[in-house]
Amino acid sequence: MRKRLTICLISIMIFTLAAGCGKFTLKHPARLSLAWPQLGRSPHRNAVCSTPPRFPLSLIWEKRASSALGITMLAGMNYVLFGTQDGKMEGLYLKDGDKIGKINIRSKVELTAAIAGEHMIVVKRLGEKNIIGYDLTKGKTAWELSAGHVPGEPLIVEKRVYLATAGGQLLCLDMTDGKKQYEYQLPSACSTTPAFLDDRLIIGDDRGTIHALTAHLEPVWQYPTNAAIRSPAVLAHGTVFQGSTDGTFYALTMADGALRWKTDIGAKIYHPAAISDSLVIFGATNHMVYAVSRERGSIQWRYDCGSVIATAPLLCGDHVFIGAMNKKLYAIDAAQGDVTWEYTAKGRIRSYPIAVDPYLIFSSEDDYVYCFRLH
Amino acid sequence: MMKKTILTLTILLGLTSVLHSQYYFGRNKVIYNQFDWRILQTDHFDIYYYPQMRELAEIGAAYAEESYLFLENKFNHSIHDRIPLIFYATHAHFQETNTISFLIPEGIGGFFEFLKGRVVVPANGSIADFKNVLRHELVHVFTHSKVNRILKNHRMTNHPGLPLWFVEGLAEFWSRGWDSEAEMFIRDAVINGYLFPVERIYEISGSFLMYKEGQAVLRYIAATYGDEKILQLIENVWMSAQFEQVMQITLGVPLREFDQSWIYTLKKQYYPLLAREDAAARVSDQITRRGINIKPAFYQADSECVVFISNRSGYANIYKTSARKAQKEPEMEILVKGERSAEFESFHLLNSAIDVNRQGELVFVSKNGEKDVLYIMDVKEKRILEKYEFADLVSLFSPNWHPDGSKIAFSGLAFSGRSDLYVFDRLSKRLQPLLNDAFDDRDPVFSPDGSCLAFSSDRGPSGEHGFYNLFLYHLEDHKIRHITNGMVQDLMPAWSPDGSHIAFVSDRSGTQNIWTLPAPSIQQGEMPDWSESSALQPPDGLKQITSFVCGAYDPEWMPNGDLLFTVFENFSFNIYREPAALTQIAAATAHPPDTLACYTPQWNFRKLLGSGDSRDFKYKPRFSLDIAQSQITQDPIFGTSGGAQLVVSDMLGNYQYFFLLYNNARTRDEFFSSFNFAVTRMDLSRRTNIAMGLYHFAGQYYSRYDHWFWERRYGGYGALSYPLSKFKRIEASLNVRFSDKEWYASGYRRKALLVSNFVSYVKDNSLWGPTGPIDGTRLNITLGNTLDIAHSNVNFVTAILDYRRYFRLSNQSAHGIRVWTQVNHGKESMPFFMGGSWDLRGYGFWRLWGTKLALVSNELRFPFIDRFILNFPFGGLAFSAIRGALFVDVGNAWDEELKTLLGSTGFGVRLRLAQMLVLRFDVGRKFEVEDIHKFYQPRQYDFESAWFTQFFFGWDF
Repeated sequence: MRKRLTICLISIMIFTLAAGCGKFTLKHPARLSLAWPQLGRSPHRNAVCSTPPRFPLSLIWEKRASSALGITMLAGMNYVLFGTQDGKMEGLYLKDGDKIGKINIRSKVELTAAIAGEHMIVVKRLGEKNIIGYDLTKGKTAWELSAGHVPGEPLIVEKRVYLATAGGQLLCLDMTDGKKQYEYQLPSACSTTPAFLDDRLIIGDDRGTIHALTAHLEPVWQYPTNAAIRSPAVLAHGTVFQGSTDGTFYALTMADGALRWKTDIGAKIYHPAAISDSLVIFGATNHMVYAVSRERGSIQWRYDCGSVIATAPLLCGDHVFIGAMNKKLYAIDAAQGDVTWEYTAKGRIRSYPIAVDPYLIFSSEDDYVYCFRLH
Repeated sequence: MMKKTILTLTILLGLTSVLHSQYYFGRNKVIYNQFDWRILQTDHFDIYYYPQMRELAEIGAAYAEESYLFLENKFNHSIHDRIPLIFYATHAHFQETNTISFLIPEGIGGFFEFLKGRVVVPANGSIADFKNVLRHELVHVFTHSKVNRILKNHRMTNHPGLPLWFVEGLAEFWSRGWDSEAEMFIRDAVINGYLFPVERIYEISGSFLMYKEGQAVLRYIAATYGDEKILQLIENVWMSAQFEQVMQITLGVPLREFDQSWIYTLKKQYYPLLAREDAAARVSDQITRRGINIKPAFYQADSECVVFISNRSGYANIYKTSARKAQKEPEMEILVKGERSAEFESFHLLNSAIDVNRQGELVFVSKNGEKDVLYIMDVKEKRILEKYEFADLVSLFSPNWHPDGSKIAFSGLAFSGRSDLYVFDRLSKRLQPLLNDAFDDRDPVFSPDGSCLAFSSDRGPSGEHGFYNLFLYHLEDHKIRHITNGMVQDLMPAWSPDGSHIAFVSDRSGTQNIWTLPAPSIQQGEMPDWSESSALQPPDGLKQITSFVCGAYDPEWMPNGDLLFTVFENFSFNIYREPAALTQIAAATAHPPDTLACYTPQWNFRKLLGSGDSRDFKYKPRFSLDIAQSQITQDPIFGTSGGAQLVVSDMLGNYQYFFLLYNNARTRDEFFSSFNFAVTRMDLSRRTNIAMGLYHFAGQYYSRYDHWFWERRYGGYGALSYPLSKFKRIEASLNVRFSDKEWYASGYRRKALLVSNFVSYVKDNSLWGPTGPIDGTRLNITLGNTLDIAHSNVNFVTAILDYRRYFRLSNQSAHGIRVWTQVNHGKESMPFFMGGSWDLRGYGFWRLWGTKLALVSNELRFPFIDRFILNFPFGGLAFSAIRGALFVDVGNAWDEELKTLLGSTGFGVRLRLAQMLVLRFDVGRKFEVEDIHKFYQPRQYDFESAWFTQFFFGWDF
């Protein structure tokens, strides 16, 4: 099985360039099942894995990609995929970090991706035909679409792809043929990516308004904050958990947008939170990682990392991993707020750490990708 | 080969000539002080300071760390490398910095230098100003770091980055926010119709207006799109090399539409102001009409006069003119010429007032060498009566006469950077400091009875936030009293002649205007303690008596109750007169009085000591790379040559090393013998700049005189430059080298051990227009000798005289004269070359040569085309300040005997591009004077029938 997957993946990464976009060539068409297929792992964006880590973590490998990564990495059982800021898709083998291959999308534009089954959605930030749908079973581009500047990550829900453009246009596309199924124009520009749970799509805009829509992009409710929303919401326990650049973290009832609580921390929040049964954990520009009560929003602990928090937290069992601009990845005891372990990378931690049992993967500036064993 | 000749000569000449100035003229950066540099380390900064300013360094350290956290949040970015901050206690000290090679004008408040990532910031006595400049420069640090990171991540090494207007506008907006100064400039630009849309903002690139417009654009973006959009503009910089595209992608509107919206918003905001506020020219008597004219002081001569400072001619001078209203500008008499001699190097144009007493004595300050000097001048006789320099005071500001002329009050800046008020007793020559604290105190004025001083200071409760209010200081019992309070800028108090009111400048209405308040009645022993006050003025006491749309400054009362003041309008400062201002006070609208809480504790400056074990230590020079470049050339005839150049220096720029290495071998056998290198060490840490170095040059060369020749030269040299002042210096050099030279044509080969000595006197106080000097003088006298001490093959003396004088005809036109002669006399004298657009026009470049040359040039320089625009379907080109010239050049080069004079006369056009390059085009006719002894006879001039045209580049002589 592993060998077959390996062959599939090697085949996937053999590319030919045609008409300005990359092409996959599959020798053995296969349906892929990824453990981490999109930002936040699932449509509700809650970056949680059940594996409790055992410290100290051991570094399995560190490899240099061809250029800087974006915030999103995708991972399957044996590999990690990522888009780079100069327009390539690359893959590394989890076991030893060897390169599986890369695709040059020809234009030097940052790109990101998400995968569901036989479909991979590649989003180039700019340019013509910047939304690309690949049919992995057929091994070729299924469709292309010009959508304008897309600053966020694609959201895949069942067979639909949701995207938000910088102009505030929400699109729902059929994953197989790229046809627009629904669309909605937000009242202002948008710089983040939507989250989805229980027929609620949640997204914030540049005016600071949190919007809730149905799966068919029909508006349900809105909640205003005081400054731009730059991070996706996290949806869990019937609640929308959203940080804002107004320095406040909000918890709203998913059904009607009623405010459950808000916590003012006085610093901008640029990344989503991680939600456990009792805690909401997030970082801010004032160097702090906060853990607040999921029920009331009261601060349970905070930890000063000494530098701007640069990633979303990843909740692994009883610890949370989070990266900062001082090049460090921290593992913080989620209950106590003490640092159990930390690692100093070669550059600022920029991509969100992900976990695929038994691996922990993240990247830093200066193009490095790191893989640790969790236990 | 010619390139190598030029390169080699350029290096040698450049290295042996003046170190801080363009070859061979230029002004001088004079190092007056040997600072004992130390480093204070904090969490993120290495702060370079000297012990006398330790307190200021600690205040700066605290604010730097505070700014770092603030900017981390703003930029969502951290900086890993420690940031060097270099502090200077005064602007005079700052002008001595070697962190950049250029002379620093007084308008530069600080800079960020990106080769070593240095932030260099002077203090000026005001902690608020110091903080603003520090944060402004730290915004640059963060911008530079973040943008570089983004472009590196996207593998975009050739991206132009952010445009200058955005970079400077961001630094202003994220350090100052929106203040009354920005309000004033933008109001003026909108109402007077000279606001540049973003689409055309490149036309004012580098100007102060660009800074303010950039600040206004950023403010508009924050208000309209949210503050986060500014950060997104930075983060999206990679999306296009055209920032216009980045703006469109990020803001969602094309630039033209953005401009329309922005300008429309400004018009809506400012046009309605004209309903209740006025342009000064409409309601007050205008006295001056062009340039910057400020700091008026009333002077009663035979008639009412005003004495003021102005840069209307380009140089800042002190003028006197009639204070009467007139249809056109009255005649201006220059009392003191500034900026062209060491004695009057700078009057601190925008920062220091002047005053004239009843006896007709003018008191003013000027930078004179290392420090400021206080001058007293008889206005009628235009004669300096007295001058005073004070031991510990580096800078002086705004002197003010005691009513009886026996004392002078002024604000002084000490070596430590502390500002204080001083009273100088003219009779006893005693200088008395008044306040002795860390607060900034300025604009002192004596009351009409001489018992107290009104002044502006940041010592009040709002001073912690950078605001200045007015105070009284009683000279007898030294008590201080608040007379205004609030989060406003109250400056420049002026007592009315009857002592009943104090006029002052305040921005409490949104922009600076003139206000008055009743002068407190003060009797000895009745000075209330400021902590007891509640309302600081009587209920109807506080009044705004000017209501100008833009800004008014420098109130100066006349004995009859009229008021003189400066107004900023239409991007210039002019002096106005308001008749009967004193009687208008009663009718002016009263404003609520300022209040002060009964007990308000004195605020203190926050200081931060260093962190860790290496908290504070002595500076030791450590060198890092400034420039590294390499070049490979390939010529089908001359083969391949390649080389590299490195420059390293220490953090303070006091010590520099230059390394040059290249090889021009044509065959493998020549490889080792064809290495060329030069290494130079420069020591700029003292007043005498010293350079010394070693070199080896070998190769084939060509000159029009020698034709092809091969030469190997190796040796060492030393040079020094001693500035007598900013305008004059003495240079000397010694060059010892072995020369082995073979001329191909004749086959002659000679060896020599050459010793060259040169000494020069250089003077330069020229004032520059767009394409060259238009005022002042430039002079270079050089004497030298070159001697072969081993074989006696070479022995010649050198004399050079290059005198250039520019006679100002009008503001933009001048008559330039150049007298130039160069002589080499002796064995193997080297020839000089002339001909071409730079000297004898009409003749080929360096087509004339001889061991002697002489040239006299006359040139009339004048404006020709103000603005020239070419429009194409795909865009346009705009050119401005195209200058014209009428010239006559006469001269020649010779060896033995000067037999004829060659010359040319004609018309030329000059166009400056991008601040650095001047394109020249001349058309004219050449002539010859056959009998030079009859050069005064027109018939001796034999003109060629054909016209010549000549196109080249370069500044006017």
